[in-house]
Amino acid sequence: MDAGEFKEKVIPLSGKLFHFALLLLKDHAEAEDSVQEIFLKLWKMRNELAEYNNLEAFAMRVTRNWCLDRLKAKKPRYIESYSLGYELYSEAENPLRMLENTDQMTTIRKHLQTLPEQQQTVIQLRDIDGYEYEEMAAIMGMNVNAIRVTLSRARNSIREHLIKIGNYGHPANQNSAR
Amino acid sequence: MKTINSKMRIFAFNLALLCLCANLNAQTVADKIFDKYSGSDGFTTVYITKYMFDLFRDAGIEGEEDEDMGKVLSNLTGIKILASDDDPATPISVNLYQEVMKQLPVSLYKELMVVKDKDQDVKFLVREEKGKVVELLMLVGGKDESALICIQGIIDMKSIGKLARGMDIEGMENLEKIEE
Amino acid sequence: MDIRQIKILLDKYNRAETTLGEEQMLREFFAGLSEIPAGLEPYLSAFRYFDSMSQKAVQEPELERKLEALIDYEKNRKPFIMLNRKVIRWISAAALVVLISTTVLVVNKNRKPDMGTFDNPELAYQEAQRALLYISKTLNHGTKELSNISKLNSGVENLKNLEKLNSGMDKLKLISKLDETSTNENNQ
Repeated sequence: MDAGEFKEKVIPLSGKLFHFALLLLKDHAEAEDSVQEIFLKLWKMRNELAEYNNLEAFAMRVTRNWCLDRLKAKKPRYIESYSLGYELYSEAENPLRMLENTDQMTTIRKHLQTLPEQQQTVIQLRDIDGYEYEEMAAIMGMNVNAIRVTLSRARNSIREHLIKIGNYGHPANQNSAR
Repeated sequence: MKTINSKMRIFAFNLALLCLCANLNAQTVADKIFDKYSGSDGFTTVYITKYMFDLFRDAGIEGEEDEDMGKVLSNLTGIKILASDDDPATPISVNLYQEVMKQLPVSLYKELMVVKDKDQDVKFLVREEKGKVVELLMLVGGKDESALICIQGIIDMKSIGKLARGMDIEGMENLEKIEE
Repeated sequence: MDIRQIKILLDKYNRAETTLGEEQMLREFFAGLSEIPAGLEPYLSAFRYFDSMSQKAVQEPELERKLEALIDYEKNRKPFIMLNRKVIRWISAAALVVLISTTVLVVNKNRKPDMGTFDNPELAYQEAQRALLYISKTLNHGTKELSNISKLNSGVENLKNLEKLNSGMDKLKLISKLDETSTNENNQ
């Protein structure tokens, strides 16, 4: 792969890799550093990149492995908020609803951060990024069954948390959703 | 496995090449027996190598008069002669005739001619490859003496036969007289 | 889609058995809701959260620009062929071939040409001639014998002469007979 091809095929993945790194490292600056290092690594192996069927999944995998190694090497600085914010899905029609949503968002986000890394990752990859199970297996180095088990656990955990803290006011219906 | 495969292939190829080179120098039975006894006490050895034949050409030694001789010699790669001495003081227990015949792979060699008289036997054998004679063996076996002559190369039997008819050599005159 | 079907899908969803398409249907269902059905509130929140997260711009143009600059820098730093695994593999394989072939060639070259038992090509030539003539004569004699088979007496004599021929060849002790043979050859 030459420089032109690399720019065409690999650089566009930088956004995804960055957000993934952000999820794992929880720090904007570190995530950006990591992505640069990861891209250097990909550049050095550019001649072998053609051998990979799914370049994106491979790049994500490299990112995950890199970030996890990095986390092992140093204690992560836990930063309360992302310096890079997220745009809310606007539901400007109902301001109250929007407010409610913001609270919900924060709650969910906070809860997700308490989950084990693997569960956080599967939620990100499936429910947010929309990867297939096979791709997720390739990225995470697990088999598809393990992916599903982890995903199921994560989803249940979110739901149970929401039910627990949510004041939905329907105690009688708590069981029906299970 | 990719790495191992390509390196192994090349190594195996080279190994095969080496084996090929080794095989090119393979010895025949005559060669083996020649090597065994040449230079030993009680034997006379003559060995003319390919290198020597090349020198014939390069030094311009080949006689212009004898076309057939030149033709025969030019395609030879070796002449080996092993003869046991007939000095009664050192009787030899080895009969080259028998030794060779014992070890010779019968399927590879064709008997051309056998001449037997009361004191000795003479046998001619040829080995062919792709229709051409590549080795001519002359075995002489007598009571007290034996000899092995081995001609190697691309051998033109017809030309060899022609050689004697034009030449005079000491002792040949007797034969000629009888034929008349 | 009615609630019943949704609930069936949600069960599948909880067990992580839904396809991306089915998940998309759930997302769309929850996005378009005007009224929250009882008991499905947690799902609504979750799906809305996921929606908003995926709406986030995934492209980071700033970052991309930085990376492109980085690549350009790296590209100019290394004008030569990268020593990646493939190249190293081929180079070492080629080196192996060169090493082996060189060894074979050198070993073969160093083998001194075998001169045989003669130092002098002229002598060797004469000996070669003699040997071939001897063979030739014997062969011819053998075949001639077939035609002379009626002459029994002469047959025996022939053999006697053959013996003489054998001894005449003098057991090929060439060096001592050198003068005689060269004289003989010259006389022919």
